[in-house]
Amino acid sequence: MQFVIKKNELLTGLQQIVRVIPSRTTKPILYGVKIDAEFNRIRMTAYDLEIGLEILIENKDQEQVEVLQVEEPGSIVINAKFLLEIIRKLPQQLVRFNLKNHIATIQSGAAIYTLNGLDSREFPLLPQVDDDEKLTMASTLLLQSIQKTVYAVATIESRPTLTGVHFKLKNDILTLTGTDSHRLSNLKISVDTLKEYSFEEAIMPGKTLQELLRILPASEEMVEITLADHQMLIRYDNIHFYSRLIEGTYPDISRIIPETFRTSIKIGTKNLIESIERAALLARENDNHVIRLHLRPNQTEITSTSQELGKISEVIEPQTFQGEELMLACNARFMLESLKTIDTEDVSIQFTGPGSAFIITPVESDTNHLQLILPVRLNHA
Amino acid sequence: MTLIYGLVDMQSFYASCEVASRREFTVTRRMDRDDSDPALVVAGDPARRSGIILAATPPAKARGITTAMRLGEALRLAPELVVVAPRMRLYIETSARIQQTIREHFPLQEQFSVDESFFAFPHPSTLFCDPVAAARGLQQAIWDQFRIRCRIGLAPNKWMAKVANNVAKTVAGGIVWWPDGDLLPLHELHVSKMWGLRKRAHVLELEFGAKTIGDVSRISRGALRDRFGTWGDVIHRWSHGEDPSPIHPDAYDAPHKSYSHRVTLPRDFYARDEVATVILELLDEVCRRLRHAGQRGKRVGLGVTYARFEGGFYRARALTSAHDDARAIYPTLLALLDQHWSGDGIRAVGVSVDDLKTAADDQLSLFEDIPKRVQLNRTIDLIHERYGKTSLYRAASLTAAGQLLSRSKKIGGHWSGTP
Repeated sequence: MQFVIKKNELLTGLQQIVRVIPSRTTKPILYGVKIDAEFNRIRMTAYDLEIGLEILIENKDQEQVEVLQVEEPGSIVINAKFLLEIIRKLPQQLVRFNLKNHIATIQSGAAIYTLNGLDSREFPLLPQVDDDEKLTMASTLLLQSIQKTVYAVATIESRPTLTGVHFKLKNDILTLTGTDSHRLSNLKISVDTLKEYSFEEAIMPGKTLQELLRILPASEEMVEITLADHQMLIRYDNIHFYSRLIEGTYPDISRIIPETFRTSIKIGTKNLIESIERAALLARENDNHVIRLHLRPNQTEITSTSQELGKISEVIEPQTFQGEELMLACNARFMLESLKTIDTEDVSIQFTGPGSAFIITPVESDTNHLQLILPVRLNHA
Repeated sequence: MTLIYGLVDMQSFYASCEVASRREFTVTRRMDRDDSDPALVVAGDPARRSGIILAATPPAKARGITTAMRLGEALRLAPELVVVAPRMRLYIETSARIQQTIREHFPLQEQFSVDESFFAFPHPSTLFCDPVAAARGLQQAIWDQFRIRCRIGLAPNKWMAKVANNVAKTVAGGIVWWPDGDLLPLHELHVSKMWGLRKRAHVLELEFGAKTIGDVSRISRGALRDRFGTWGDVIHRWSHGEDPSPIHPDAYDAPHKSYSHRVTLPRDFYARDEVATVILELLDEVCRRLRHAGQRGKRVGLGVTYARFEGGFYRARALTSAHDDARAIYPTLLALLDQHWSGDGIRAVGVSVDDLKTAADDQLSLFEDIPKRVQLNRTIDLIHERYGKTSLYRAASLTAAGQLLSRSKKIGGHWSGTP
């Protein structure tokens, strides 16, 4: 194997790659990045058996400047974090790789490194994903959709399926759902599909999505999503992101979303967030971060009481109010995390009673986003 | 007026309870003659020679028998030994009654363990004009009422009283009084007699060359602090006969900081579902106590000891919120087991819950009827309170793995003695 590559191209790729490198593993080869030199491109792969990331570096036709020149194809696995540090410190803009018997020679200017590599045949293979069927959407839309649902997933594995976001595709509508059983976020978006692609269930681990959020660009660039064999492949530009899916059956959420309401309000999103943040200061000591909402026709009162610290009460005026007066308690942190995903000026909240779920939706928005929070039942009041 | 602090401890408590409750020994026993007791031991399981000695009377100890010795070895030393099974309920009930007697003599009193108690009284005072006589009054009352001997250390503070009590075990009459201002009896003791230091006493002897507590008192506070950190201050204080701890009459009623239960299994368990059954039984017990105290735990721990009591692990994990319900906590314990179990046979299992909060409000759930669950737990607790823990239990406890039924006959891992 022999190739010459521009240092910056290699560096950008490696910086993405090391995010997927596990910090602790029982298989030392997984600390490595697999580098494949093909006839006109370099393929870098990291795979911790949970997340796989593949980055292609090639000369783009329209560009005049060559970033890469492969002189002889080949393949090797090198410790990724170590390689990144070396490349970062190289003196010149061009790097020459040379491989013989699992020993890589890296040369840049007068600096020459000789590194022991591992046999790339021992590196686990990425899953085979057939890309006949796929859905396409803008990167920034996928990014926002994940952000608006992944916050609600469970962090404890008592129900493994709840630690991921549930994806469903039907009639060109992609539905994302996240819940930890105390709150839920459900988002529907229109996407383009090839061959009327659809699937019922794909649960992607919350941790993997957090990783994906760091890699996805916030641009209009198109992203392709394909499912196969308990894996999801997300592809854009020259990057392929593979994720293992969580096995198991996701709970049927269609029956738990209430349809009739006792009390409904529309209220300024920013005002409500700030007011709850103030009340939350006193709710911090409480395990459930309890605040109380008292909904009256022209007043929404937010209160919080701490036995040690004292009490806070604040009244804000809703834009509209319908239905009966109602009082309930809920977790301030859940409220804030939900409200912060709302990007419209006003938010609509529909209540069914102090012991059942209430629904938060944006007002006058193109996005079909529904969030649900269950109240806290007070035992002493 | 100052206070005199006392520490009273029962002699060979479990063994003495057994001797005192057996008619055949009554006539010959005398308070002032340890050797008037029979050579008797309480053994974990008298039927098995591998069982261990839990307690031994002074005549048994005089034959070289020590606690934690195997029964077989004890019988080799003294074939004529009287061997009895433990009756934990008897000991605990006797203990409670003895504590009551102590409180009647000295109202300012704090239970320290099952057979020890601190107390304090003013000095000089007309009510307790002779401290040694007051202590002897208590000693006599406990003998008259329970036929159990006790030793009493009297000193200007709790720590010195504990040390004085240890000295009292070696003197005739079993009472030692160290009046305020006289550190000589403390200072001439060997450094290993400094109670509560564990290995640090050894360090004092080895690294500082301190033979006696008096030697320790001559080491500068700074030097002790450099070697032991904050413990340096404590050692310095104790060696000068100072201990500011007050008596807490309600020490045993203070809210718990953690709850835990542990069981040694009758054989090594290799199957996950068998271990899981025992974990659930222990967790049910922990949760029952949490609910009874109106507390909830935010962290849960699992301890496992492997076959032959060699190796094992203890690992804890935080929960997202505080719970007092077994079903909410159980999956986390299983996750701990799956993550840390090497696959070796398991001989003992322990479950603990800590990071306790006062039980407050219930976060409702989408997939579970929380108020119904709370009501169910409340009902089960009521049934257990009224009809006993074996009146209602999980079906899994009837499997070969279940320990609940055999545990219900034990206290602290030993037979309670009640049918």
